[in-house]
Amino acid sequence: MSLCTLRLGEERKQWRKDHPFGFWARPVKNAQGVLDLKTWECGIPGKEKTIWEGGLFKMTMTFPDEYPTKPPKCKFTPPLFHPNVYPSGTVCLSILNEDEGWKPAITVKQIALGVQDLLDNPNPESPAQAEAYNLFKRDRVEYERRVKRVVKENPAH
Amino acid sequence: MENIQIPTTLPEVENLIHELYKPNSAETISRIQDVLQRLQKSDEGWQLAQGLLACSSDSVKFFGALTIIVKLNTASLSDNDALSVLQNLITWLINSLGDGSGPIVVRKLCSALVTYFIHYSHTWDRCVRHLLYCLNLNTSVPIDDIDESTPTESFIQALDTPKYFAASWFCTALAEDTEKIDTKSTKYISLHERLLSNAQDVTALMSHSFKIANGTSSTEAQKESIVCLQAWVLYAQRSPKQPLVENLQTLLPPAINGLICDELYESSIELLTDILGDWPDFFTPDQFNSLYSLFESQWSQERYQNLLQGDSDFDAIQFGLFMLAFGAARMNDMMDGNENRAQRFLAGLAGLLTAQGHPVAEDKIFVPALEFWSAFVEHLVDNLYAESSDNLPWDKPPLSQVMQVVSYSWQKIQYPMIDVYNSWDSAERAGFGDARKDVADFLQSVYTISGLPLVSLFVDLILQALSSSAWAELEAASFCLGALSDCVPEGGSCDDILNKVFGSSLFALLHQGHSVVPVRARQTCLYLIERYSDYFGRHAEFLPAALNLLFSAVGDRHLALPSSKSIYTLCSSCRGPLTSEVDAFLEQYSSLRNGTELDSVAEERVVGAIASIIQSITDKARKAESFRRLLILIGIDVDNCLRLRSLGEGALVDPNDTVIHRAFDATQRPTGPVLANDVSLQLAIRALRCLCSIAKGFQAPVDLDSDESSDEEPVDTNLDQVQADIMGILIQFRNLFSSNAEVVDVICTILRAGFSETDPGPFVFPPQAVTGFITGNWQNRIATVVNTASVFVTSLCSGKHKECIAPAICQLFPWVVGLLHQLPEPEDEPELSQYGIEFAERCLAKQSGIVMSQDPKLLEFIFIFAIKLLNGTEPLPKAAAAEFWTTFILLKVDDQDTQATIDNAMSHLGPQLAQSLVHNIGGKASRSELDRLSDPLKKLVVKHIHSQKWLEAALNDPSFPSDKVSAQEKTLFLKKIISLRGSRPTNQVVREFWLACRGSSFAYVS
Repeated sequence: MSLCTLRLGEERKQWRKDHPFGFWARPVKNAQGVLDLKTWECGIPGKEKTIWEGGLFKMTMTFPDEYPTKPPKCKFTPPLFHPNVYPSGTVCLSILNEDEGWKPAITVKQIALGVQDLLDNPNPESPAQAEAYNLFKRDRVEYERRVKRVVKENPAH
Repeated sequence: MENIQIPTTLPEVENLIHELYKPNSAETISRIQDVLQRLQKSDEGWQLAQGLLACSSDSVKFFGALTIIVKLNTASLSDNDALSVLQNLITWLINSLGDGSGPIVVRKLCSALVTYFIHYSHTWDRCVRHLLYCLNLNTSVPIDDIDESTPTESFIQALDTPKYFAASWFCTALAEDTEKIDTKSTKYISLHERLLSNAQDVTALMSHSFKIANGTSSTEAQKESIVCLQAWVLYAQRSPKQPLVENLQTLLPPAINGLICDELYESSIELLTDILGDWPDFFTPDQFNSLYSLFESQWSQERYQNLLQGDSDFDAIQFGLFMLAFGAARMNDMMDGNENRAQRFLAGLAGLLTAQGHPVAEDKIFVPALEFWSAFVEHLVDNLYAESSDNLPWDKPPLSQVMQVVSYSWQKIQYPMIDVYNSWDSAERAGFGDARKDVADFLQSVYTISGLPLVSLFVDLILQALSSSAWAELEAASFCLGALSDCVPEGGSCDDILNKVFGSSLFALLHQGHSVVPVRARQTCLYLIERYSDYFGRHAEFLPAALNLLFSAVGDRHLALPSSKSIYTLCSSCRGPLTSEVDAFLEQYSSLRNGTELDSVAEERVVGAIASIIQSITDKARKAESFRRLLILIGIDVDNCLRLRSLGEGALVDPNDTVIHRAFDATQRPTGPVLANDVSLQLAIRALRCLCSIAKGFQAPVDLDSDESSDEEPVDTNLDQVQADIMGILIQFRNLFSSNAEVVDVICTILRAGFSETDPGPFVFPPQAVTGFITGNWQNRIATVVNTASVFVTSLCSGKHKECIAPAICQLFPWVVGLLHQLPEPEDEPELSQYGIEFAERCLAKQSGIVMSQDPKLLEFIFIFAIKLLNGTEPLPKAAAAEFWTTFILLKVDDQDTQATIDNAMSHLGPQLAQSLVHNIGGKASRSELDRLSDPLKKLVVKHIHSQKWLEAALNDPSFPSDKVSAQEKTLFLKKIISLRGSRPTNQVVREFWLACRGSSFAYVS
């Protein structure tokens, strides 16, 4: 077995044993019902006491063959209204960037928590979509209204 | 404690140490720590440690030992000096054992000895034997004095309890601390070799405790040995070497025996569970056999029964986890149905799912047990479907056990009575929800082995529950059936089974409301309908009943969002067979509007769903009539909106007015009178949002082949009128409400919904109408409108009406430039700047001829504007400008006049562009922008003969932003860039140059 699948097997085990509150994450199954460890679907809940509270956002993590040397790609499906999410849904976060903060020791759990943290703490240094970024910077009232609508359309329960 | 004086005498240091352990502010503590650390690191550190260790207080002695560790880690000693430190350390250890020092001092001194070993192992290779010898003699003796003829065991036998403990602690720390040192680094190879040479002595020490017969402190000593063994197993696991592994293995039987001793149970079970989980190969076959026997013993049976009866003490859970770890370690035995002993054990693991209580809130073993079973089934699947499945070591997988687990687990995820559920805290509720998801996951894996009988099982369970009105069971069985929806084969081979449920009295019962079926069960059953939308697509006979049921739930606050979502999914995916139901659904929608509870998001989904059915009606007259009926309903809100608006400033609306129910959702309804203008705006937004959802519903499904539509479709006057009506609403709302951001956004989304359509439709407006509308009067968020114009131009270029492109650009281009022109500075409205320049870029890329023939003043403005954005600090406009330039540099057209204009512009703008790029790469850009900025640079180098000259001038211009790179470095950079000829490695060169310009101190902080 490759390092990639070994590590992902271990990640899965660890996630089952201990995952943060309100999150879910699991590898998808192919047509035969066999797990595809390199593609995970997960749900990222909005943090309590933030405008994202009550929402649960579906994200796909795609692990390259070179994982864990290279980071997985995280993509919200459907794309999320957020300053650091590209129009395609891909998340722009330093720990997910091979040239920046990615380290092979970073776990799926840490990624999930990192993305959750990003929801309410956008990084204005690296905008990924114009709409959310500009509203966040210039019209916070409208930004929050939009977020609340996104939350209502993606309820946790 | 504002300013802490550096102490000069020992008592002063003592005082400071006492102060450190007193409750003080974090700031004071950190200041004391600073001072003490400075002392520790000073040359006097050794003497200080010596002094401190001679004091009477434990915390002072502890600090003394810590100081030794700090010194050992930082100072470099000659072997002789090192050995004298060792002698002293052993002396202090022996003294501390005799003078009543507390365990924290003894343990710290043991750690100091380990630190010594790590740095000076070459002077102390048989450290364990030497330390035992010294402890035995009660004095520190030189290493060479050791009596070689005496076996280590005799030193151990002579130790009293405190000394035995000290030796154990030393050995534990020895493994723990050395484990942290890289085994692969050449620097430490000999350290690890020397550690291994102590393996036998350590083993002897540990095994001694298990031999002490009924000594008063024997269980305490055994406990220490188990802790020590755990540390050594962890060490050995990292680089398994003989004879260490063999030595350690001899200690497992006593550890297993430790289980049945109450005092040792906890440490033994933790040790064994950890090894089973992390390193099952550590066990020998005999040891596995003895574990099997243990599990069959009376003792185990009692523990097991306690656990099942709901004992949720840590001890009881530990036992369950131990069983699970054993099962996982012996997975291959467990998969073999012929292996009787393993199968008996596996039955026990299945039984774990029957422990008393609800998962998570009370039953703590359910989730880990289910985890085992999921892994087990996945393992089975992997083996059954592996390429080499002919070589399976077993031929009879234990399927009946798996089905037993299915049966247990679906019962466990039934919701409790509502008062029980309400008594749980949020973590317990979420945990229970997660456990249900785990079961869903598990069932999907089981399906791979069992196939359709699993579907039948839950279908039968639903029917049973229905007949006995057992709602919790109905809910759970429906949840499980829903989980299998992704697994059932496409094409309908299990439809006969599903017919039993969907053709049953289920829908009729659910239709009767909460008084009959509790809300949660209804919710899950409604969800079931959505999950099986493919099935309903094949069985139009059940669709109306399902949808009518869903519609009846939309008016219910709890069910509005999920049921409207299901309605949307079903209607848009099964639109064809539903066309006959349109009138009924319009009726349903109409009556929902009359209620007070219709939620705005739910309503949008409902109208979108109905629109998607109307879209698929083939009869034009019927289609138009249905659409008209839908639009009339929306028109009510439009009329009310305009009526209220006409009341003028200051007019009020009573909170009980029915129009308030349309304007505000239940949770946001005002209690007092509201300004008519505000209500009017809310109604406008609601009407627009519904229109938007209708427009999206009207989009042709992507998988449908629309080639059949003929190009010469006759003009449909009816459609023209409908389009004019809708456009009329949009124009009115734009004129009245476009100061509201949401209004602008939704209007633009409505327009876009039509852009991508190839066939005529109510929202596919004539291009000139769109252009006219876009360039009209907006009061806010004009950037969004400009962005919409970009999408419009792109859609025209890929659509049928090519003849409309030129007029559209000729009207839109000056309009966009005019908007940009009004900006005092390009970055005053970054969003407008970005979308404006993106618009220009798209027009250039698609229709450069039309763009280049625009008024030269406009063109000049846009080029200078794009340079300014490149020079600015706003990241998104800058990125858009970089793309604009990339496109422009690459422009190549057939028309010679146009090409001449382009070339002329480029030679005019080249020096400015080069300077702008060079300034960015010279440190002005942020790191994340470099890749984007490299694009135009690469194209420039390849495309323009003068690029080298321009770049050189820019690099050597006095305005170059950095003084950290020399002229040679600049020359070298340019040389590299030119010779790479626009290839990918340019980005790396750019990155390095940028870093050099920023200065080496700017390293990325991760």
